[in-house]
Formats: sequence, C-alpha cells, structure tokens
Amino acid sequence: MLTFFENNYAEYRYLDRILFITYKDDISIDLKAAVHIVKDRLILHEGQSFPILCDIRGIKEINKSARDYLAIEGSVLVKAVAFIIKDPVSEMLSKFYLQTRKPIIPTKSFEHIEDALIFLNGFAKSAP
Amino acid sequence: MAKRKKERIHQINHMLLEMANGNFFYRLERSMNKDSLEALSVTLNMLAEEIQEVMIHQGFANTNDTIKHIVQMSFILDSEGIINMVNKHACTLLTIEYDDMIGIPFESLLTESSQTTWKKAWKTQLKNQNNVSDTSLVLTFKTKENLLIPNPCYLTTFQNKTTKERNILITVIHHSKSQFELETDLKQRVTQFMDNSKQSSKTPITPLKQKLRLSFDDIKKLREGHDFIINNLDKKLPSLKEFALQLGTNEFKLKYGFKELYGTSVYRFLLEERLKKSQLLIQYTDMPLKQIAHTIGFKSFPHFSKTFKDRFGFSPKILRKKYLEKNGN
Repeated sequence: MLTFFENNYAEYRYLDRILFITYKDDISIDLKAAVHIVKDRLILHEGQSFPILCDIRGIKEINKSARDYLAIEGSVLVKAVAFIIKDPVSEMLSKFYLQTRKPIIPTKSFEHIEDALIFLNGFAKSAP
Repeated sequence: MAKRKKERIHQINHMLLEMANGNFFYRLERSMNKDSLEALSVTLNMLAEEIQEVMIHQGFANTNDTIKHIVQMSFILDSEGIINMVNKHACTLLTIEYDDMIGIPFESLLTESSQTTWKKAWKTQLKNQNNVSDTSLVLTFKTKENLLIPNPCYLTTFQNKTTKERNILITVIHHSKSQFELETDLKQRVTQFMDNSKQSSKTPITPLKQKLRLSFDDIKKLREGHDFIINNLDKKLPSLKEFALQLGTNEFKLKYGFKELYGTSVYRFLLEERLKKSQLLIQYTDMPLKQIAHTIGFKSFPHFSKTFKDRFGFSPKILRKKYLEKNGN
C-alpha cells in the first residue's frame, strides 16, 4: 500500500492505521479541488476505512459546493476525523463546518496533534 | 497597521449593511492574515453563500415560484477593453459613478486574480474572427468599498457595423426568487399603509395563498431525518408514517417539509445518496460490486445495477471496467 502521496492541495501520509492529510498553505478549495482531494484519498485507502487526521491550518477558504461535497462524499470510508486547528481562521472554518454540516462520522477539532491522536487511536483499532 | 485594521472593520460593517438590505452576493476580500478579523471575514463570506443558496434553492424547490434571472450588470467594451457602455445597476452595485466608469479599462473593476483570468479570455475572444461568438467565465468584481462580487459572466464578441472593430458585450446574471421580491414589495406597501394611518390595523391582511409554515422545531426534526438517512444508507428505511413518528412529527409535515427543505422527496433523496456513495466505491475501491450493492442497502445486485444504469446511463460493471483500464490493472 502507498504510504505517501501528494497533490496540488495536500499531502497524504499513512502511519499506524491513521491517515494524515496536511493541506498546503494558503489553499482555496472549490468543488473541483474537493473532488480531486477525495479521489486521491480513496485511492490510498484501497477499500479500507481509516481514521483521519486532517491538518487544516493551511486552508484559506472552502466554498459552498466544496463544503457540501466534503461533508457527504468526503466521508466515505472514514471512521473518524480530527481537525488540527491553530489560528482563528482555521478554528472558524472547522466550527462553521461542524455546525452547518453536522458530519455523520465522529469529528472533533484539536490544537495539539497528540490529543488528536488519542482521539483517533480509539477508532484505529476497531474493525473496518 | 491600525489603519489597515480600521479599514477591514469598515468593510465588514459595509458587508453587514448590504446583507441587511438583502444583498447576499457581496464577498469580503481575503488576505494572508490568520487573525480574528480574518476569521470573521471568512465566516461572513460563508454565511452569505449559505443564505444566497437557500434563497435560490427555495425558489427551485417550490413549484409555485420560478427562479428569476436578473441581469445584474452589463458592459460593452471596445477592442482595447475600454468600457463604452455600462448599465445603471452596475454603477450602483460597484458604487462607481456612470461618468467615472466610461472610458476606463474593464479589468480595473476586477480583483487581481480575476484580472489574470480576464486577460486570457480577452485574448482568445479577440482572436476569434467568427461573426458572433459566446463564452462564459467566473469573474470577481471589486466595489469602491472593496467588497467583492463573484459571478458568472457571459461574453459575446461581435463586430461593430460602423467602426468594423471587434466589441465585447459582458452580461452578468444574478439568480433570485421572484416570491421574495413580491413579498418585499408587499411588506413595504403594508408598512407604508400602517405609517400613514398611524394606527395598528385591526383587519388582518390575509395572504393570497395559505402556505404551511415550518417552525424551527419542524425544521430541526427534518434535519434530524436527513442526517438519519445519510447515516443509515445500508438499512431499510421504515415507512414514512413510522419514520415521521420516530422523528416526532407527522407524515404530511415530513413529506411536505422535506421537499421544501431539500427540494426532493425522502425516498428520492435516499436513493440519490445511495447511488452517489456506490459510484465512489466502484471507482476508487476494489470492493466486489455485489458487496457494494449490499453496503448501500440493495438486497439484489440486478436491482442495484438497473437502478444505477437508469440514473447514470451506464452500468456499475462498465464503470468498474473503465476505471480498472484507466489504472492499468
């Protein structure tokens, strides 16, 4: 299985049953980007479900159609999501998404990667 | 720095006032900053997008209304890209005087990134020597107050009969719901009437057509239903009557409200979500097709295959085959 992959928007790293997605700096996500991001992620999955650590600190904005796509199609084969946030922009992006899209899989925001990993590890062990 | 902050707050206030006036098509310009003001800007932009969509969607969902397409702005440019004509509404929206608009380059009304998009389109349009040619692209306009208006623009290149030079007509369309305008108009007239008579009207003003109003509680329940469906794509949905009871509402409100809120029926929505999910699984996983059918709640593969083909125009098998070939497997 591929353990590292990169496209114009993000880097994907698979480590210890968790998929790390780190968005690049100053990225604007529209529908075209969202479809690309989900497609590349699913190829890495090879049909298995994983918990995902999603570092959104680099994202500048996500438009409405991309938010819709990521909330539904974006959650296929995902066991749980931990967003990594830092500044007010990433905090509001994650809050807005959580409040308006009510994602169907367990999703939480964290400022520290260690805390996010504790949350995700609970899902990493369970069967797909 | 303080001056810049003051300016940004001024823009946010301006955007809020525009939204209060029902103009949800403005956006705030974003910067590289990641501070609280920037967070407020990103949230306000997303909020405006959500509200704008809801207004169009309701017009679409409710068959009594049709979406109204209004020409928001139109421009005629000469072969140098200089504005020769502009409509009055464009001047109002961009807060630029008519006289100041004529004779300036069209690109000066755009944001930096849109200028690049525009220059490319401009070159290809001018090269085109057909009598009349059309194209469309999304451009972001910038008002004098530095608010942004992103919108699809339609470009028509034509030859001016007298000067023989190539001119471009740019049309910017905005979607709106006619009912909303009618209601705003009615509201204004009623307020005027009440102001004139200086007393509260005792005769109630009955709307022409009674429409079921969904309360916040109803909407909350419908949203729960929506989330329940997405969470349980693999399970059989109970009858609408039972489903309504489960959500604490009744069958009529569930049927009517769901359509009002999501523009489709409960069963159609469920089917659409199941098929969307299956499409992703077929393309990007090697899960057997039968298992995919089962995962998204279909009992028999032939039934799934037929429904899939009816919806997308090709069978699951063909899609899987195409994907495998593409990836060289």
